[in-house]
Amino acid sequence: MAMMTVLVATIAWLVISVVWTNDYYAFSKGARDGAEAGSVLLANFASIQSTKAWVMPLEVLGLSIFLLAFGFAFANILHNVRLRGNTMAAVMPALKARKNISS
Amino acid sequence: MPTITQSSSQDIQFRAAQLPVQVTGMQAMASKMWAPFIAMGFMIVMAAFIFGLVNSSISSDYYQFSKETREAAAADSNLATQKAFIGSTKAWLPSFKSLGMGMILGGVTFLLATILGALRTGGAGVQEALGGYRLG
Repeated sequence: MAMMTVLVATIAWLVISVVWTNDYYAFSKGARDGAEAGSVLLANFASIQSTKAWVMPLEVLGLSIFLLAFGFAFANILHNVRLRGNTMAAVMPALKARKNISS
Repeated sequence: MPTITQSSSQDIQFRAAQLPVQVTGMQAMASKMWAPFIAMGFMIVMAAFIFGLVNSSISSDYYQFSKETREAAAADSNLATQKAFIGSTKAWLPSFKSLGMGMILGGVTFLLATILGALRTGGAGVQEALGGYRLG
C-alpha cells in the first residue's frame, strides 16, 4: 500500500512535469500572463498548481505508511521477544531439574 | 521465582512487578510513549494530506481566473482570501508534515528502546530461572 501510494505520487509528478508543465512553458511569458479565463493555457496552469498542492502530502503519506509498517514489524518483534523470554524462564527450572536427575 | 500467568492470547507472561530486573527509566517511558507517538504522527500526516487536498481545491478555483484579475483583486475579496489561504498553507504545511514524520520516527525509536527493555527483563527472567545472580 505504501509503495503504491509512492508510485501514484511519482506518476502524478511525471504527469505534472511531462504533460502540463511542458505544454504550459512552451508558450511565451506574454501569452502565459495574458491567458484569458477559461482558456486551455490557464486550465493547464490551474492543473499544475492544484496537483502540486496534493501530490507532495500524498508522497509523505506513502512514506509514513512505510514507517508505520516498520512500527508494526517492531511491535511484532517486541511481542515475540517477550513471549520467548517468558517461555524460556518458565521452562528453565524444569530443564534444570531434568538435567540434575540425569546426572 | 516469579509466578507466571496465562493471558487470553495463550502467551505465558510475567507481570511487570514480578520481574527480577526492572527496565530502566528511559525504557519505561519509551514503552508508554511509542504507541501514542506513532498514532499521533500518522494522524498529523493524514491531516496534512487532507489540508493538501483542500489547498488543491482552492488553488484550482483561484487559478481559473486570469493573471490580471488575480493581481487586481481588492483586499478582503474572495480572490485575495484564497490567495492568502494558499500562501499561508504553503508556509506551514511542509513543517507540519515533517513534524508528523518526526513523531513516527520518534515512536519507532521508542519502540526499539522498548525492545531493549524486553531483552533486558527477558534475559534477567531466564537468569533468575536458572538460579543465577540478580543483575539490577
